[in-house]
Amino acid sequence: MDIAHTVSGLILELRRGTLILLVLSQLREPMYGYQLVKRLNDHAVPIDANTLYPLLRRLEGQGLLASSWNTDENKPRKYYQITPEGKQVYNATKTYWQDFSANVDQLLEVDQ
Amino acid sequence: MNHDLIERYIYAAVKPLPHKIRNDVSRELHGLIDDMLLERCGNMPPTDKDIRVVLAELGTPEEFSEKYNDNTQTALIPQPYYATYLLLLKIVLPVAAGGMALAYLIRYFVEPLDGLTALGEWFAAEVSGLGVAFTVLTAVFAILAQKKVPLSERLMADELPPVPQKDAKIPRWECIGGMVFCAAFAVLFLFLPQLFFVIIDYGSRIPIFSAEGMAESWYLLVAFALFGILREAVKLKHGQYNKTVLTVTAICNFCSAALAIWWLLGGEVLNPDFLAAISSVFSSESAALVGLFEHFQLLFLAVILLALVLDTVEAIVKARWQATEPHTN
Repeated sequence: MDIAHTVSGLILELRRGTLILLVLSQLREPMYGYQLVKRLNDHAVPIDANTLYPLLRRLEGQGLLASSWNTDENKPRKYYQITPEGKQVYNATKTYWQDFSANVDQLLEVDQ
Repeated sequence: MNHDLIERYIYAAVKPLPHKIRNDVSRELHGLIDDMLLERCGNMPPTDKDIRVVLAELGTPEEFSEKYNDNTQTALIPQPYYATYLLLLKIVLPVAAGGMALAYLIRYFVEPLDGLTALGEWFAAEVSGLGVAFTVLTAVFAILAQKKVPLSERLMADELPPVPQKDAKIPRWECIGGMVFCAAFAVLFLFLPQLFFVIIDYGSRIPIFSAEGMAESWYLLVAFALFGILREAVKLKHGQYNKTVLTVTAICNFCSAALAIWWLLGGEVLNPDFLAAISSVFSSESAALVGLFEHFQLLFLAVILLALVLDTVEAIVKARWQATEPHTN
């Protein structure tokens, strides 16, 4: 059994849903993609640009984010911000996450 | 700065994307690469090496575009459609093969053909027929999967149908046999109508049906066979008479009846030579017999309609019986 491969697969699964929650949490103010990459990196949540950019577009397609091009700066940038529907989804998911992670933590502590 | 390398990267990354988002993604990707270069080089102009490092960080253009495409459907026919598709493929291909084999076997015994010619013609028909069956089924399921059409209801335990009683079960062989019959019916009437003939004047064979008439109404015959196959496939899937089987059977039989009426009354089905020969042979002996053959289409239609009515009545009776009988297993 390839332990490293199995672990990386599990981590990928764990990160998949969590990243969406984190992205929604940070976009209460408008941000462009690379700004968000750096913000998450600064908080020790590394994410590749080639993962984040498609994710932003997918969330926009689902109506959770809205975007607009800002051409006032010296280079045009696309800014994303959470929509009212996105906020509802975020709040509900955040509550679930907090309960769930607390329960998971408890179980993991018992295991130790 | 090596703009060409960046342009090539962006072009390759957005090329597989839907046309309507290409321009937007391209602009966004330009901005991202600029930002990454700025982060890496500050106010210094980026070298070729810097560009290569940044592009390598982004991964290959293919990886980039793959993540943009909705990755929930990576196959032409994903699950749960694939399971049903595979099941139907396992039924449809042997049924089509069996139907054609049956039709060509009948032909071999009826027509004076040498074995090798018969074998060659049968093989060619099998290859083309199975190819069409496979293509049609695959295309139908690809569309169903693309449109995300639900294949069945997701029922709770108490909503599930009862386990069929032994007597109420529809035998698999009966359904498969029905499908083979439908396939053979279409093959015989479409490609081998000359096999239905009468022998007059000691050996002169006169086909009953008009080959041209059959060719002109091919779509009616194909639709007739497809409704029959659909009816049997639903019976096979449910394995017992119930409301769904009854509804599908009734609709399919009604459509089949309408098609049979359209086919047998709407066009040139009988061979004119057959009618002429019958008139000349029997005219002096029995006017009633001639009349019977002249209305052969009506007789044939009556047989088909009777079979369809009986099938529908059987479905109604057994579905009601299954619904009302106490279930003891």
